Amino acid sequence: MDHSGDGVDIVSSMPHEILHHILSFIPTQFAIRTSALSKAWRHVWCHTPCLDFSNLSIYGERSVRDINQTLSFYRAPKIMSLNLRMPRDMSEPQVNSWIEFAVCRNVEKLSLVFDCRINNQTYIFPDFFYLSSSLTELLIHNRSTVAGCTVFWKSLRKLTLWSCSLSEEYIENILSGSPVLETLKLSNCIGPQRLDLSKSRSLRRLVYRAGRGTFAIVAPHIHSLRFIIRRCETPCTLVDVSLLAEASIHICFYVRPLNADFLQTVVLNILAKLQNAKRLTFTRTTLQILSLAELHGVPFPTFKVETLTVKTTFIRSVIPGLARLLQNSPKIKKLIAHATRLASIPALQESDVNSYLRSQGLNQEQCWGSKYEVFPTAIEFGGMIHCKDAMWKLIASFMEVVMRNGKILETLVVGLKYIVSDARWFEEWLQMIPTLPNNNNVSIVLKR
Amino acid sequence: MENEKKMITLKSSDDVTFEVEEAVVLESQFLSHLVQDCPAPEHKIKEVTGKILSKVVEYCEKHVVVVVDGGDSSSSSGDDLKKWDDKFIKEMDLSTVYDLIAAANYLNIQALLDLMCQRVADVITACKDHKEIRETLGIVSDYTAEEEAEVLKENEWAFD
Repeated sequence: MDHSGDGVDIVSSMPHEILHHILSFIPTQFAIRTSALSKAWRHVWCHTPCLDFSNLSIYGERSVRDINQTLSFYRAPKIMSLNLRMPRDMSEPQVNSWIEFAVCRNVEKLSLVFDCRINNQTYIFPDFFYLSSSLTELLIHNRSTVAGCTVFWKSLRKLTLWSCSLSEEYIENILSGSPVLETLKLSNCIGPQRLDLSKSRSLRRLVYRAGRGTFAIVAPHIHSLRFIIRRCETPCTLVDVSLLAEASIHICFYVRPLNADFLQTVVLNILAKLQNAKRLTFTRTTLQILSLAELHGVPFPTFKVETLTVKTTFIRSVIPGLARLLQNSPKIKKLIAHATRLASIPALQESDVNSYLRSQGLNQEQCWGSKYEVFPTAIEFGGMIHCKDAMWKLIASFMEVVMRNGKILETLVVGLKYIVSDARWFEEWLQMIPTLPNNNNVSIVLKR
Repeated sequence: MENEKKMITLKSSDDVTFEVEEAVVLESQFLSHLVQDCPAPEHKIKEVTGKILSKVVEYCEKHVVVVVDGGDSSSSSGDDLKKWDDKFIKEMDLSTVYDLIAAANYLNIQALLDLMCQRVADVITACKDHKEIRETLGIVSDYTAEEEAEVLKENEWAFD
């Protein structure tokens, strides 16, 4: 780092709002250290509108006292954000008092991370917590929540629940008490069996990372969905997402042995609900499953997608699925393909695809060899990654398949940052773009 | 059909001029009001030097382009922008960072202000103790030994 021009103390004479802004980017522990710099800095930290105790739990027993001591010196009348990772020695009244401290100072962004249980008891949030009118963003990590409370979060726009146990009643209470809630993120939660978001008129965006025990999602008003599937024992179905404009589907679980028939059903059920979306994003496993489904002659839905993003390795088993997807997307204008390495996204293994094909009396060569022989199997791909010419040939073949199947495509963006680190390769390839056959004048963009 | 872009000239305190598209100016709350209230072709910004204004313009131009272009590939263009931001601040010395904080604050460009404050915050966080922060930021302590000991004791845990 270049520190020339330093040595002159400019920072101390900056307006206090600026100093507070600087300190709001650091954990409170480091902010407090600035009180020892000079008299001018003595009380700066205690007016910073952000408190961050997220790095404390390692201190174990000492940290309850530390938090309390810190709060006793704290002077800001308003807290913009409080990030609290509960220390191991917390007690229920203690946690309540911290939440009260924040709610009384009209906290806007609140993040409460419980790593451990309080004396093995279920912690119950105090009633006043559910009535905070200033909260705009709330994150709760790892807490069993209890139904039956009255909720009125009149300013809450974004709610993230991580590893929480949820009941249908609780979700309903929150939705009916949060009139401006726009974004709901549920990650690795347990339940509810039926996630019914139809009561909320304001909710636009759902991020759902599969947990356990949810079988159906009803979200007729959302515009944007990010759906991360990690297990296959709970086939969570999208019941109603009819206003969806944008969806991103990530299948990243991996269970042996591969139950490809089951996965096909899950994937095709999801895809059937995405037909009206204008923007779609898929990862490798989805494309591979589509390749397998294609072999079976399963009927495919037709999509209204205009921009399709795929994050995938350019291997043989994904290409037929992608080709089919393009054929069934008569309105597609833009394809964005991020080329990945094999390991960068947890996905189906080559051996799963092969053993599935074997169980059907088939193999890759026989199924896709004649049409897609230029595309490597995963093992062959591993050997190509360090060879400039082989990689270019692969990228060019990929673009050729895309343009052949996406007849009305206007733009093709290929992102190479995960597979190419050598800038010279990239520069050379940029020069090669005009030599590609490009009958439809697709605008091709290579990105690093 | 593409409309012709409206151009605006900004002039720094030391009379360096920058011709920018109107969209670039709109990144700054201060300048967008100025442009709306006073539709002159040239605007003098007395508080910012040419050296700093060139950085401000560079930053705003980059961020405008990506926002316009971003629309449907937000994640990747977001990544690109972050990479660009990292590079933008990486080789910057602290006195330029301070000047840019002052400029971003004056011109009311929140994202630039955040980026620069984050940079100073990172410098502070990287220091192992308050003495190193002093050294790095050029701060001279006016505490007596007793006063300093008292401050350290007050929030002892934070100084471990």
